[in-house]
Amino acid sequence: MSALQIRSVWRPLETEETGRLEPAVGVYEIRVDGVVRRIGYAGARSLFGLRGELGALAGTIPGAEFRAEVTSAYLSRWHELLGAHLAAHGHAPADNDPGELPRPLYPIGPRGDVTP
Amino acid sequence: MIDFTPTDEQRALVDTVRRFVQNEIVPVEHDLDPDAGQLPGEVHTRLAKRVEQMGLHAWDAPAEVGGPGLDTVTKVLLAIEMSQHRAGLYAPCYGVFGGAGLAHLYEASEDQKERYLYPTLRGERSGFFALSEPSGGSDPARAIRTTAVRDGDDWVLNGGKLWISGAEHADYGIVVARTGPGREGITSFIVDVDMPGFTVNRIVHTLRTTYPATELGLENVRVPDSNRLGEVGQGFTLAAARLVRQRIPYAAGCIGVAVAAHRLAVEYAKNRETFGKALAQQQGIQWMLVDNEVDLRISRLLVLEAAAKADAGEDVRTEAAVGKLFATEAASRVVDRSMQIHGGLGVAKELPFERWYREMRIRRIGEGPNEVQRMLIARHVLNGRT
Repeated sequence: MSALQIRSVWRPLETEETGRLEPAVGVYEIRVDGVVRRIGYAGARSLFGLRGELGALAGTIPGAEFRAEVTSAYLSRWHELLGAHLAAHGHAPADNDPGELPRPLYPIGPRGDVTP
Repeated sequence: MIDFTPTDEQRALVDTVRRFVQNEIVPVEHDLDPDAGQLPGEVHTRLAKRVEQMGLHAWDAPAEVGGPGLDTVTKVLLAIEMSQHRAGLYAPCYGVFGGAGLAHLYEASEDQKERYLYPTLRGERSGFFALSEPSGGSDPARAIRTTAVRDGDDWVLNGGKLWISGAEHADYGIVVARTGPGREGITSFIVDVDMPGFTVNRIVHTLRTTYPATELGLENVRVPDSNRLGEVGQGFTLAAARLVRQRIPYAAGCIGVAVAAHRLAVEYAKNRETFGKALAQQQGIQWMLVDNEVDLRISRLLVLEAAAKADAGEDVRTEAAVGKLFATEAASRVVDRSMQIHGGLGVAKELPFERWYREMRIRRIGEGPNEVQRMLIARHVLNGRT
């Protein structure tokens, strides 16, 4: 595992789990079948922060899991996670809209050896 | 005595940029995340076209490379205007005015200008400047440990850099490396980020989430001699000259943010009532506003003095240090007082103060910590220069 990745454990993307999250700003990842599909953040405009952002997605993606990290540096951390994903896989997560990504997005950290 | 009365042309440019910030940037900013550093792509394109029509594209570039060729005083006046919005300190007008940012490249060879400077001015490429290392940045003659060793037509670079802004989205960077002992043993190289062995190891998360700092790794990076910037051993001179010049617009950006903070504070003090009267009628608040005003006036004069002397071709090491030192500290005080006047609202992300407060703190460290500025000024004071 790269030191760049979120350290918390993966949890089912269900209301029971997202309800335990801090209502704080931060970053998150969502994966399905072990493949990271989306890297997002709960910014200052997110109602109830990570709890609200992930709560809105809870139960909508079959088999999805999430992990999250509370950080006030949510934008630079989001950028870093996306860059690390790009370095490892050669592309951004499938469910991130290209229009929302930082421009341009370059790889960050070790190439090709990050566990998805 | 230097006359700082703006010329008609300067006044017209200031008015144009002021209207642009108020009419184009501030309204768009309302819809962005409070920490955002980029505009949506289509908005950026539209506003960059407006700037081209205004004749201010690549605003900080000399005329000989396609810029408007503004003098330093005019650049200071415009930098003060461009930074008067939430993201203004580190993303003035979200970069729609373009510009190289890397003044080093104006000294580059024609071939290097073709490959790096002109594409940067056209907005096709972006670069970073990598001087600081884990061992330090304010004393490059001693702190630089990244090495560059000549091998045939190439140089082989090894080492690491820290606190490097903009590398996470750059195409190339100017990397300062050691080619020999002492201050004459430092040379600058242009490194493409896709050269094998170059890595952005991580983003260093700080108070500022826009334009973040990074940590870079260089492991046997082969750089052709044609990418050497300047002569071997001239890297220190190039870096020092850049740092001195850079301190003037750096200070100007702080003044702009402080002007915006003060304006909001004055407005709020007039409208907010406590204990049966407007805040503005409370003497404690009046004195805070007066202190803001004095800090702003002095900052402006000091930075304009440094700019005017730079335009006159004078050695501005002391003046740039004085301007940077005073303006960064004064602007910090202005933002702090303005935040205090707003009470709880001042620390909420609904208003820009908390972002300005965080980002302004960095300004007392960036481009040479203020203690280094004091050291530079002390040298001149003790050597009898007035």
